[in-house]
Amino acid sequence: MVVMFAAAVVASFLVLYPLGYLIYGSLRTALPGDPGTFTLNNFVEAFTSHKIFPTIINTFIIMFGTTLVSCPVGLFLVWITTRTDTPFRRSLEILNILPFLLSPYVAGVAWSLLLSPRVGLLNKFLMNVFNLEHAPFDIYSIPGVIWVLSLYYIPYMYLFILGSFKAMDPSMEESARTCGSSVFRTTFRITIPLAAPAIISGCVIVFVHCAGQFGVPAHLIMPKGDYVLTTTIMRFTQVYPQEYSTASAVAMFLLVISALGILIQRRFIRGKEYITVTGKAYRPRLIQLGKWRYLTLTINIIYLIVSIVLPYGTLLLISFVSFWTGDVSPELLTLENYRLVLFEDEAILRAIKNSLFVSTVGAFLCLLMTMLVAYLVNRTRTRGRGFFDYITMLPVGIPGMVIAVGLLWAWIRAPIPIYGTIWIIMIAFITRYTPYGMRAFSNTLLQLGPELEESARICGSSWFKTFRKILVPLLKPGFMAGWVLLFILFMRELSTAIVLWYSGNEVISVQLYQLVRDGEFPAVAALSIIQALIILGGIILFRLIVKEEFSERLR
Amino acid sequence: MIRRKGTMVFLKVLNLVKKFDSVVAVDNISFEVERGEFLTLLGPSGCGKTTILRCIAGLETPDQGDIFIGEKLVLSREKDVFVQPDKRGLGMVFQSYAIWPHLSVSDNIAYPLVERKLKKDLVRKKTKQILEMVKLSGLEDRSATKLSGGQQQRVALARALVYDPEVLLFDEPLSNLDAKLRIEMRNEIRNLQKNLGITSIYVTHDQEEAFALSDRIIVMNEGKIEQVGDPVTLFFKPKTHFVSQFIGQTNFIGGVAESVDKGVTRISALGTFIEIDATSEPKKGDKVFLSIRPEYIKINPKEKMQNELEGKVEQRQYLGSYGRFYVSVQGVPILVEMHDITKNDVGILPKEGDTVTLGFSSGDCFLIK
Repeated sequence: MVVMFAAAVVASFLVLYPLGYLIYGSLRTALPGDPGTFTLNNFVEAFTSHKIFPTIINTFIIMFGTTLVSCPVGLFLVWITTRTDTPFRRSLEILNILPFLLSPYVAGVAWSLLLSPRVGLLNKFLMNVFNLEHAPFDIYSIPGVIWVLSLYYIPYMYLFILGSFKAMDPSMEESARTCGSSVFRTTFRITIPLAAPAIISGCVIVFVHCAGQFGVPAHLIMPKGDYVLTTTIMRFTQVYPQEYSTASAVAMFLLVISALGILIQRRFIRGKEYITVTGKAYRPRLIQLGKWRYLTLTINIIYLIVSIVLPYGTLLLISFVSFWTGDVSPELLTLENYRLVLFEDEAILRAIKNSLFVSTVGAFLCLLMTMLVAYLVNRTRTRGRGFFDYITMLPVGIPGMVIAVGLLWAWIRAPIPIYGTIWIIMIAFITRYTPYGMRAFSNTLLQLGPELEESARICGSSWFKTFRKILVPLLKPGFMAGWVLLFILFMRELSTAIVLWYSGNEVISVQLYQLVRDGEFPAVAALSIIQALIILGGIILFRLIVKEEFSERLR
Repeated sequence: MIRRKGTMVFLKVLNLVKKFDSVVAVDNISFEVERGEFLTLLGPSGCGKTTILRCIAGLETPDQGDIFIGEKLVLSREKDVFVQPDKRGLGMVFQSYAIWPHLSVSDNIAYPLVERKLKKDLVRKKTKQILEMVKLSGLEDRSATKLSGGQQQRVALARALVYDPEVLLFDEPLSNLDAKLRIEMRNEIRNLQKNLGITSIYVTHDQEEAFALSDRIIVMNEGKIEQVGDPVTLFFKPKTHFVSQFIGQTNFIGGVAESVDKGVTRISALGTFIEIDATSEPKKGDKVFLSIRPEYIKINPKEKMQNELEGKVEQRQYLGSYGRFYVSVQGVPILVEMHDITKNDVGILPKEGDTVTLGFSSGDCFLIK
């Protein structure tokens, strides 16, 4: 009991402490700990700096654009894999989720190698085939950002909508058919409206996440001088003279946008989570597409090609050349990059070690904490459990960079020397992904029902023994699955780490960011492939440990 | 094929086969439904009754068979005919009601009319009429999810009836309601069906429901038809082991045919001879099963009865106006039900451990295949 309560306090502290410091810092003239006064000047400064309005507009265009692209595509892919007789739909259902686990930043880099106006492989290919004078695409643009982000937010939409499509009582649609609706009218008048709460939730989450996206806009449009809110924060914290207070004010603005988004979503879906009386579980008849099913199969495969095969194929290719000019010729082929990344460059090696450490230990600590809090919230009558539940779910709506800026404030002058170490990165990751752990355990606990523990208590077990003998084995699969999932998410996390990194505590994603800045594309490619292989290893491990689909866990 | 003379066949199912992977859910089933008839498919879960209904509705593609609705062939595997469910002109009430939560009560009910592109004022008029018919007037604008189970069931019924379909299909519509409401709703369904004269096919696993509603019942088991008939025939003349067990309760007694004469068959069973009215004709020495319903057996009869057995009361359950006795005869458990127990009888009821005589007449006992 005491342990659980302590865990809940720690979790709340992790969330509230940086947030508090963020607000405090945004209202001060100097760093916390330094003498200063309260002021609104930071906000004035942030909003009068000459680039702020284009920045806000860019941010919103990217948010809307990505949501508008990924929502219909995600919806269509769900429809293909759950409602039609498209061949290989079961495999597609799993494969469509894979891009979710890959790093959007790395993909952005890969796509810049494909669609850079001068040396992009795909651009050059298209110019050759169609005899064009100019490159047809320029990835270094806002549409370019929307393109890359959409590819990686489509799986978000997919996951959100998939659940509601699969849980829907089939007789909802069948009754529409017997009432005289064709297959397509049923889809538009019944299926999609019934899935609306999930679709809207997905849209809002994608919308909010886009606001917090750092890597892709940083790589694709920042070099040209186009900023979004996250890259602006980055500029204020990393470029001399550093203006931490102004950065906090911008972060506050970003936080408000996200919070508003989540609030709107909550309001909209309140009371609309349709609970239906389920009938018997029969297999609903799939829509017979006839020859069109090859078209739907092709569309889905194209998505997998542009989101996985093309970018990672390009990276794989480039990882084997000695330097990148936009051409691949046999005499340039080499294993040098892997040697450099795996054995030679100390900073890269350190980054790989740091990433593995943070991902393994951090994910474990995060799950240990959330397991205790989830038990406290779901199984006890402790006062304040509603508060703990709310607080631990809060980071869902907080962009990683906002958490990072708050942590920066909180630890930069703290008496405990955490700033600049690997621990602050770990704290940031744990804070950011606390909701994932909470959700995993809460769902498991709700499914299990308290009777299992109660019967153990009645059989004469003490509370602790019950926890150890009944709950721990029952929660173990969830714990293992959560561990692998968080491991993967920690492995690719960039936006928090980029604010908090310091020579010595860099992780793979930060190292990649540095290498891209230095134009070391072959090394970037090799390190990306290694990162992807580690993630792939995680996925395979997941499939070995838990006999269930990833999609069940991510929701 | 089952057919009653002098009536008009409206819906016809011929040689229907449906497999799920290797499991045969519907095994070569044929039957006909007359215009205006209320036919029930009755059987335990997994017997294939719902699958048949879904094949008629067009929600399932059978592996083999033909289905006619009216004169129209809606399904034929041989001729490669498959009329889509929205073109079959059926009404269907689902077990889970399938009320759309994103639409109001009246929008739910008006849906089939809107899909048939009826004029707005006609839609409104018809919706109003049907709402009155199912006693939901005043709830038009209510969100469908804010209704009780019974009300949702009425909405589902109204939605299925509103466009005057030629056939109404019911898939265990009452199984999610509590017992009292179930009886109320089933009376209403029967009244509506009679008044509208609408041809109906009803699926249930509840024998009482089937009896209360149906003109005719098809008893199914493991994908096959066991027996077809009206409730009275099924109860008094069950043809198979399964039917006599599934409809009401019964005791089965194994024995050997001894002699057949003068319309009476003597069966050697339970260490004695049991006489029954000969319906079928077993040959001497044939192994047979006797079925006798627990309510036809009398305990310690006042007058001498045709068949009498000695047994010991193993368990006695007093259940108010009636009681159940589990009596062991030669080690075989026989269930006896005593009805109309009055205050005076209570004192003289046999107790557990008592030796009793069980009596029954030859007419109440029949042979089962």
